[in-house]
This record gives sequence, C-alpha cells and structure tokens, in this order.
Amino acid sequence: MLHPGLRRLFAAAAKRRVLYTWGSQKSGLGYPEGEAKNGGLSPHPLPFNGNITSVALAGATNFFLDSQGKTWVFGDNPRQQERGKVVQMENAPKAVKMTAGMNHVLILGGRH
Amino acid sequence: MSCSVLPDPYQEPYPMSHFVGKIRLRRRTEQESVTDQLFTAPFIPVPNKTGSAKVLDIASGREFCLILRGNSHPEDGVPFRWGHGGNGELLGTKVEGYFYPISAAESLVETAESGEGKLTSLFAGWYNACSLLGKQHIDNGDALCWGHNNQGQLGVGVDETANMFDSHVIAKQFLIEDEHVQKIAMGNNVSVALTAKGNVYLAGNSVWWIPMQLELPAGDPAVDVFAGQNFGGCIGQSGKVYVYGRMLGKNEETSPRGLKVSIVKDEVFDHGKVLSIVTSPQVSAAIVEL
Repeated sequence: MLHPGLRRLFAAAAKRRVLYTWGSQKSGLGYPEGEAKNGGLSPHPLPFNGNITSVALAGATNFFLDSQGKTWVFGDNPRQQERGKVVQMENAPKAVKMTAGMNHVLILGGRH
Repeated sequence: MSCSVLPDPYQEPYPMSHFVGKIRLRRRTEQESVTDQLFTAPFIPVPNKTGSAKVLDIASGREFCLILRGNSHPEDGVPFRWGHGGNGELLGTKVEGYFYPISAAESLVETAESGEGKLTSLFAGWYNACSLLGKQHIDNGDALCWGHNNQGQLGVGVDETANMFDSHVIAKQFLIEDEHVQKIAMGNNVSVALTAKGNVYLAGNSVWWIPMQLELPAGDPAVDVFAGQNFGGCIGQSGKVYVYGRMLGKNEETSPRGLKVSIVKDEVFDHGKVLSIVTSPQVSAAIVEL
C-alpha cells in the first residue's frame, strides 16, 4: 500500500495521453467555440482528464476510447446543447477498437 | 471479441438503413428525440451471419464496413462486408451494396493474388480497403488492396483503363518488394504503408501509382502512419510528425516529383510526443503523450 503522498507524487509524474483536434468542422472539434486556435485549424487539446487510447472520427460527432475501455462522444452533441462537452456513452460495450465512417461507428468489444 | 454498430442518429432515415437493414437501430418513437436515442439505444451486435467466432479486426470506410472473422471456423481470416459497394470496396466486382454482413470467401478464392493466404488485419479508406495477407494468421508481409483506385492510391501499379469516374481494383497486392508491410493508412487520394523496418511508402495523388518511399530523417524510423484527402505522413519513434503534402496549414511545399517530407513543429502539440493521428474529411485528431 503506497503512502498517499507517494501516490500523489507518482500520479503527478505519470504521463497523460491527450487528444488534440483540429479541422474545418468546428462543431466536431469538441471544445467550446472561441477556444479554437486559428479558427480551429491548429490543434487544441480536448478537455478530458483520462487517458485516451483510440479515436474514431465521423465528422460532426466523434468518439474516443479511454484506457478503461469506455466510449466517449464529443463534438456536435445536442444533449448538452453546447459544444465542448465530452460525454460518456453508458450503453456501449467495453471496447478495444473503434472505427467510424461518414454515418456509422463500429465497435470491437472486449470480453465482458 | 464481439462487434457492434452504432448508426448515426442525426440522419433520418438512417443512412445505414440503406445497407445495414437487418441490424439497423430501431426507429425512434414520436416521444423520443434524436438525442435520447443516441444515448439510450443499445449498440446493435453484428448478426450471427458471422457465428459466434471471434472477430479479429474491424474497419470502416465512408459508407461501408468490414469485419475479419477469427479462428475456429473454416472461414477464419475471411472478411465479412456490408454497406455501399459501388466502387468495389466490398471486395469483388462492383455491387450496389449489401444490407448485412456477407462473406467474401468466394471473392478471395477468385482472386489469384490472394493465393492460399488468409487475411490478418483490415484497413479502410474512403472508398477502398487493404488487408495484410498471411498464412494461418502469420503475417507474411504482403498486402492485398481493392476498391477505388482513380489516383493510384491502392499502390497496385498503373491501370491504363483508369479514369476519374470508373476505376476500381478487384484485389491486387500493394507493390512493395522485400519489405514486410505492417500497416496501411488510407485516405481519399493517398495511401501510406509502414514496413517492419520503419520505412514508409506513399501511393496515389495521380503520381505515385507504384508506392514510393518517403525521405525521412535518418535515425528516426516510423512507428505509425496516417493519410488524408491529399496528404500522408508518419510519426517517428521520437514522436515527431512528418508530412508529405499539406496538413496543419503552413507546411513546406513539396515537389510534385519528390517525396521529401516536412516536419511539424514540436510546439504545435505543446512539445508532447505524438502517438497517432487520425483524419476525416473535416476533422483530424492526434493522441499526444504529455
């Protein structure tokens, strides 16, 4: 059992895997309007605290997996009525790979 | 592993319904909003046309899907495909499309270049796809490609019958000799292959009908590749990003007859180590270790 102080130290030292997005479809970039660098044409980090392992881009609505196999959606997200929110898809299977086309997403699920 | 599909709920009728049919998401009721459906409707398992066999790999083109059936079945290493097939992207002759996963076993048998090989992994472009070839799931370093090839993006050589409106390849090998292909990133007009030695080859853009090697800096072998509309590139072991063509605005102009890459400045990604890049027609993304 690590001392809480040591645990915090290790956590601070651990590297994070962050998603940067850019492009012409501003609503699909996943961060609030006004924060876009160079009108969205320069990479900007997505506001998310976990470790991102895989990303699938459909365009306006996009998806990523975190290191726990959870699926998250970002971009054009009418549930939140605002952009810049990253929302977990609670009904998705625990995933190991994800790919997207223009209007669909394929999920390769791991063992439950 | 299982495979599921989530149709895009923003479109009505669902575009996937044109070709997924039997596994499409239920239509929403009058009381449900599109938004409700996105977050509450279940992912739909790909139906048991593929049996209970393990799924080895998946790939998505613009309007088609591929899954690679796993072991313990006579059709292991055989892709199942569905969706739009008007460019030959479903492996075989051009078809309007399939509404649910259909085995491509017959198409592989008809393809002399596939020999006795099994497919071991899948990669999809906008209107085309490639797969690594192996025997008994041992990757032998060759790649088989099919689908739209109007600009030579499949790397299968010159097609004298090609034109802008009707050019597709049934299945041919990506032409890299004496190298072991590990991955092919496929965009629209460009494909980029990564070999086991960390070399990178680019095909397409109406110039490179036979894949040509990118001129990378010495001492930084590539570990991943990416491709977009008219550009391609790779990520070096160092995390540096090398691009041929225009990506991220002001990259160095490249000669149309040379494959010299430009280097994306470290500050673009806050000096982090870039691990992978994915592109779509409108949005691109990079996973960066900070």
